[in-house]
Amino acid sequence: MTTEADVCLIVEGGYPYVLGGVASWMDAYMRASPELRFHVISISIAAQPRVNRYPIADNVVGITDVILDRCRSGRSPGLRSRASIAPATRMMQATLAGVRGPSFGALIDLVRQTRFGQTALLDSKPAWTAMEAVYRQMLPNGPLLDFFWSWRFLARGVLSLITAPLPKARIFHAVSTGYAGLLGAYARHTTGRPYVVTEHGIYTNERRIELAVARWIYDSGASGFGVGTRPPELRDIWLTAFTSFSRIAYEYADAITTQYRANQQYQRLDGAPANKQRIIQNGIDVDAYDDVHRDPAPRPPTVLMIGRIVPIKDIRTFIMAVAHLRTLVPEVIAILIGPEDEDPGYAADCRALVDQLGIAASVRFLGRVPDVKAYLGVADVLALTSISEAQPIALLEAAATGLPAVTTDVGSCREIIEGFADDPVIGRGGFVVEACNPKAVAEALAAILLDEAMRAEMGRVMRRRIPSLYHKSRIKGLYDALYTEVTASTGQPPAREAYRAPPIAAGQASAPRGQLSAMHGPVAGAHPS
Amino acid sequence: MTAVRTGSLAWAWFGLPLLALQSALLFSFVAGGMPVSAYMLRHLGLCLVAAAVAAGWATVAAPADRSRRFAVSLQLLLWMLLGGPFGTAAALALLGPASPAAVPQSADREPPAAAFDRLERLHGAMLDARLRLPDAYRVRPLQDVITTGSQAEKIDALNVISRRYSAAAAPLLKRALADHDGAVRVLAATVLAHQHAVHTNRIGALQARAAATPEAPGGWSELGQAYLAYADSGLLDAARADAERRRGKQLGGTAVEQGSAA
Repeated sequence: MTTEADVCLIVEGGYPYVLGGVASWMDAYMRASPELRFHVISISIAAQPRVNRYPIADNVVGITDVILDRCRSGRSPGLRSRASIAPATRMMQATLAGVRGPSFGALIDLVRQTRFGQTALLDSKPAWTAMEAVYRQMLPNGPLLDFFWSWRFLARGVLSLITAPLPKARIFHAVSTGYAGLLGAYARHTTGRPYVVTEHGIYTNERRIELAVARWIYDSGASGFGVGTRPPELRDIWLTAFTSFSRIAYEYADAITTQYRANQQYQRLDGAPANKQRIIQNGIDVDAYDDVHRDPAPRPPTVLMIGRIVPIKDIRTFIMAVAHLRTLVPEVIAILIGPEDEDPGYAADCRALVDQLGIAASVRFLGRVPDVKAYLGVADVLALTSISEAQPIALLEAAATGLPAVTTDVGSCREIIEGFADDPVIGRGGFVVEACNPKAVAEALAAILLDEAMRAEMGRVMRRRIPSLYHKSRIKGLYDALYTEVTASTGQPPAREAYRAPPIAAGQASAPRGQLSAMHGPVAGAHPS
Repeated sequence: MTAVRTGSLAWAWFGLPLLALQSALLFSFVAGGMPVSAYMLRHLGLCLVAAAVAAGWATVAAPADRSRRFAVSLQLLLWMLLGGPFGTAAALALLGPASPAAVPQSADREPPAAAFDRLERLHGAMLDARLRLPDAYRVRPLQDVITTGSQAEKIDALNVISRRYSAAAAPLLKRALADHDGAVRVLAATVLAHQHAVHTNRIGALQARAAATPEAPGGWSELGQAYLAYADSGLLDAARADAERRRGKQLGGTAVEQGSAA
């Protein structure tokens, strides 16, 4: 069994296998807290390649993989125990359908008591009969086959989580709701240890958007062009399940944090009690950027973009903006820093777009670079054209060096650039424009590039604002205080007695720290968000 | 096997008595009235008589019909020879004139023109409000939903726009980009970015194809049309749309030049 951790971080589809904002935040947070021992539970699907994209910090004592589409087989149903299958299915339905009440906790207890798994609850004849009854209630007008596969994936995911081995930890901390939040709720129910949820983006909003544009979901079309009142569709089953996961996570959590105010409203809409809500921003190592100053040497006006070359960053809009910007600032140079291997097709499309627009002489794709700071000093403005963000680390780091920014109106970009009602630092550090509007991006960039005095003033505002709110030591202090608060409120002494975790199920692997060096290779380069 | 049919019932006057004789012969044999050799001889004899009659029937026919009658006679004899009374019965069924139900008659089908008229009448009735759609008043214009709907309704509306995008929906997307709700803005941006990508990817692919075969006018023409489609998509601001339109027309000119050179 692994060493007891102080904090067990629970993440879905990210660290250490996928580069991204939340994964980078986790990496930075663990490194900023060397006195704490961390265990990471990484939730993914079987098809996810498990190659480490981050070098594992020394204070990580173990990593446990929980595979959503593989769960333990469990005991076969006997003559007496098969009577429990229908009630368990109803509890599962209540968990997925957002029915208020103790169904999730009851399901955990029933599954632990009966030692059921996939064999009894998904593959048996009584389970099929029970599923048919659920189908008639949840999707009476939809195709049974589609419902069956959706049910199977969702229910198997829940089963996989509530039969997962739990590491020994003083505090469980999920970095999103969804499956990670549900696993945290399971840990809270099972161990009684404090449980914190941190949301960067709002999970239900992200799923709602994904499902709205998903082409793989069958739509009966019964609603035609009508919106509002309509019969239930398959996508509603999924959305209801994700909303329910969030509600359960909020219900079990002792504290719920997010980085900015707008997110709190969404959390309340999904059932987060206001008395549990906190704001804790992302923190960066501000001191590390103190020595970065604008290089006074003559150079062409330079726009920097830092981010993975993926659709959500809307690099195409940036490229189209550069094409427009060339008509306003002909000698401009645009530098893109970020890995292209996550979506090579999109990266190739972006390069093709540069050729198509005839701006190859003005655009440079640098890929991963060993030291982003070297480029922050030789740029005049940062551009961020993302379709969706929470609190982008790249923006905070650039701002810490006094680099003005033009961003889309997503996440907390407006708060960072323009400040907010009680902001101790007055003034704007750049411009916020609407998403998918290359012309607006280009005009804002040109305004900054062509006005040196404004650029300098914006840089000064950014340099003052970042240390006051986003300094990593301040953020670390807020998390320490939060951990102390929730530990005290749950009446949990620092845990020394191990929670006896169930045996590791097939598809769920737990690696002690000693084995990590063999499993986790270093990753060169920076971690663009 | 495709049977050649007689086209009339006249030959049944010959086929039915033949069937009766063969059946009587078989019953007599089954009842023990004759040995196998006697039965076989009489069966062959009947077949020969039938062959002679059929040959006469075919010979007296008009030249145009003669070959068809020979084919019918030959098939009948084969059926008789191999199947006895059962073969004759099968031949009667197969070689007789086709029943009206076997082949769909044009009377069963509505002429396309009539179907079209019916659709026209339906359409007209709807336009005149003589035909009322139940709950039609509950269908809200997408613009109303984007302007005043709840978050879930706006997301549903954007979902509809995403699936059935047309240039007319572009103002709605742009309006949604300025929505106070971040989730609505994000979805609108996602849909918009996807639509841009559809056009720019197509242009990129056609550009590569035209560059690979510059002498082919079709490639330039398609590329020009792709630029025009992008210009008319509603996704671009007026100046950029004009620029794309000019480029599209220019490429159309290149296609014409290549066509005349060829």
